[in-house]
Amino acid sequence: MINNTNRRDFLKLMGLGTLISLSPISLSAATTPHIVIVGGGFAGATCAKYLKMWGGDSVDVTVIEENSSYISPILSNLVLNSQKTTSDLTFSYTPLKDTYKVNVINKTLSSITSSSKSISLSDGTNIQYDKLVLAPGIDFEYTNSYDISKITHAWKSGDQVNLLKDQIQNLKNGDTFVMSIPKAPFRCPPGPYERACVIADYLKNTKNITVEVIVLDENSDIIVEKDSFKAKFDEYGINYMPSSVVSEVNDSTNTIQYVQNEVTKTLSADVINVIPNQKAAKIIFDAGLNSGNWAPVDTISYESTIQNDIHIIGDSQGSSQPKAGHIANSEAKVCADAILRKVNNEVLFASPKTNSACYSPVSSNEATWLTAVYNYNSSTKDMQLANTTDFPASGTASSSNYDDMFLWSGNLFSDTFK
Amino acid sequence: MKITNKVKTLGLLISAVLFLSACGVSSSDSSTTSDDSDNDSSNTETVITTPSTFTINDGRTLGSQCAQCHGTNGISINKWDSIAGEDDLVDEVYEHNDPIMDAQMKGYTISEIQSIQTWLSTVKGGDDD
Repeated sequence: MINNTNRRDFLKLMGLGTLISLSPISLSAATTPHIVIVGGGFAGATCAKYLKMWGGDSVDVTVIEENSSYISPILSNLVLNSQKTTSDLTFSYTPLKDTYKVNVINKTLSSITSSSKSISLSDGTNIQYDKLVLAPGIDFEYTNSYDISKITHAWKSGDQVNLLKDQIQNLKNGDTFVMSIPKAPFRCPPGPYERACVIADYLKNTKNITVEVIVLDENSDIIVEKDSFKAKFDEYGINYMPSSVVSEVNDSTNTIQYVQNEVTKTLSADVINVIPNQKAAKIIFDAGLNSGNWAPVDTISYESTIQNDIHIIGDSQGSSQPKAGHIANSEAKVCADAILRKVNNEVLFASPKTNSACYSPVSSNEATWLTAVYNYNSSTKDMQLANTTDFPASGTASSSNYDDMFLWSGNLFSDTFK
Repeated sequence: MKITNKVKTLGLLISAVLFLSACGVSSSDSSTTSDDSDNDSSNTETVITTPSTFTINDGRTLGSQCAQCHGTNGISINKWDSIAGEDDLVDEVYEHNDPIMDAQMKGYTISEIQSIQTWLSTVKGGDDD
């Protein structure tokens, strides 16, 4: 299989490049498939890298990302206890541009017109695509309007995480900290439990102060690694309140109202961190690609089941897989391979696999982990656990897991952004 | 589009000259670093070249799922194992004493691991060159 880009390179080498460039129609633009990716997080960046690493000159790849660099939510709970800084977790798009020859445009998407296979950006630019990959992450469903610089979510990394860090580090002896956990599914299932542990450990063992830590969980129980997190909650004296649905947040009185067992209660706290319920990003809804809160896809390729030639990967897609950075990277490779096979008129790989792994810090020197492998089910068009028995998790938190956490994240970050 | 075999052959020859490494990957060092730097790759210099055409490789499709933990193309940037060049993957994964690797292995069939090994054995740059 060869395409015009190769012929163009060949002609250039023969000294005919000028002739081609004078041609009124660019052969490359006319015939090289253009893959446009919206979003440069774990899903989008991985997809762009692998499309070019595997597809090379046979595809043109453009990433639309509103930020000029990416700040990882993975490890961001370690910013709260000063084990990391957001600068440590910031990744540039230079390798995508320079090593992989991906066109990165730091602008915001304004609309998708699937009938003409084009998108438009906020500055009015229109871009044609052959395949569109949407990797826009999550959006929040706030209970009511309030100032998120006072009551943070800190569930997208960057300024929000630093705001929460400052609030936590300014807590004093006798203060109260309340955080809320959204209804599943949400980004990073262990993340909120991990956050509660990291903060409680920091207050108790680093600052040596007594702060009441209250966790309101909309779920009826800890949803992952229950035994490990429960043990830590007990050790730190965290007041865990299951089935507690946040109903109103007030940033002037610093109170949070919630409903538990049909009883409405209000808590006052010195610092409140509300992780709101989540849904696919706004562009998914605007383009009519959602069913309920998420975007349905066939996970053999992550193509939308609503609109041809649009693929959705990462947290916005609606398969039964968890939503997190590691598995977003995993989905992106399946998607990249499928797109390359499609544009080259090849049969899709029939049995793609994905995997999930997550290390969770629970103090300044201990972590837990869990992992799973998923198989494609051609009947449901969804992924399912590759093994009928439960995948083992780490169980007890340990310092060796803590050290391994940085080896895991080091290779994951590199595989995504380098 | 249609292209003559003659052009195709020439294109591939030129590609072979331009891209010296058949698998597109080489690395100066991949086994000795152990720090926990998250976004610092100064300790490894992986050179990746992109191909001129797409070639299907089912083993690579499956094996790319190892990269989250073992590095792109199986070349780890830290002290976790590089698996590029691995030619005894089937034995290795089942002898493994690492709990998270054992957990992963529950999700793969032997034929899938063999397929990954077939691809990995062609990749340069790991510990097993």
